[in-house]
Amino acid sequence: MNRHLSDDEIAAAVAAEKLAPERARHLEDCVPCRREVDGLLELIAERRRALEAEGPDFEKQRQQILEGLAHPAAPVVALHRRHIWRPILAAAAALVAVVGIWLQMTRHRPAAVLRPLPVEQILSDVDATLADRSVPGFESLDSMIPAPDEMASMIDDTKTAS
Amino acid sequence: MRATAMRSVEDEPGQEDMALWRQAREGDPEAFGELVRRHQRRVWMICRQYVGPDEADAAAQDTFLKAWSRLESFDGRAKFGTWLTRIAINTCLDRIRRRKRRGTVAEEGAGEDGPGLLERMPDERVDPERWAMQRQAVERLGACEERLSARQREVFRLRFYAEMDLEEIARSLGIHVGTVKTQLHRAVHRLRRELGDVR
Ligand SMILES: [Zn+2]
Repeated sequence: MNRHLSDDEIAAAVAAEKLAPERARHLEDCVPCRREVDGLLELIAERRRALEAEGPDFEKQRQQILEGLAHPAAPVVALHRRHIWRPILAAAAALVAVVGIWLQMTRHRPAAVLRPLPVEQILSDVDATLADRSVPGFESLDSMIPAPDEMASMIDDTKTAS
Repeated sequence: MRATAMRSVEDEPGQEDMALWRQAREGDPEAFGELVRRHQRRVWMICRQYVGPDEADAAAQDTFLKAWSRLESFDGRAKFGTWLTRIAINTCLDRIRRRKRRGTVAEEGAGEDGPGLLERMPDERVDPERWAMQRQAVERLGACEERLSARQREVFRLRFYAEMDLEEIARSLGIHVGTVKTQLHRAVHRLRRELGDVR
């Protein structure tokens, strides 16, 4: 009954776990045990205060976020802008190729002089570029979507909590 | 009876979040600004734990911008704060992944304390010697945290520095609440052992 709390029980008390009633009573009445628990909690709280003191100017941060709502996601958009040219350039190249073929055909040059353009290859390059999902900037958005199993566990947890 | 009354008091902030979320979803930036005000300290603290002090502000801002663009996807089944925490954690993990891809990651260093962490001047009324000892103890706690397993450290910091409850940590990390309890207990047990007599 008067035995001091074990290391395990002190850890449990610090972690706010429920102690057996008589052990909880001992903690209430025993100054050395309370000092152990409160000392560690106070140290943790002191570190939290030190971390909080590193925080930015939160009102300024809030204003920056609100400004960001009007001009959404600058870094992501910048990446998109930079890489959006890739499919556009590929499409333009395909267009030039098609116009080139058409011009060649309308000039009625002898077929033997024509060097056949690799139209199939150009078009398949265009397809590949358009289908390229590794364009930087997309992955951060993709990863925002929780995996189905994660989603399921969130839903389950919500159910059990309610 | 008392438990019911306490729960309804606790639920109030959640209800206010829901009301603000509904307004924000309709495109009201002021309502969203209020949500930011209510959650930004905690979101910053969460980001601080994952990406470190230099990147925490940017990651926190990113979190809120993503949340704004995805307000429709919040279904109200979890707390708004929990949903936001998930976005914050995902945002930070993305940043860490990108850093790793660029080869600029300092392994565990991301969460370490910046140089200015403990440079706060003590209150004039505080005994300088006592303040120095406390500062040393706090530094030592930070160092001991780095030696915990990644999961123990994550749970410990979310619990004590981001001040999240166990259920919320479990939902945010997509793990069972029993696992959170176990990891937290082990983390505290180990920290206490390693801190020895600094307290
Ligand atoms: Zn005792």
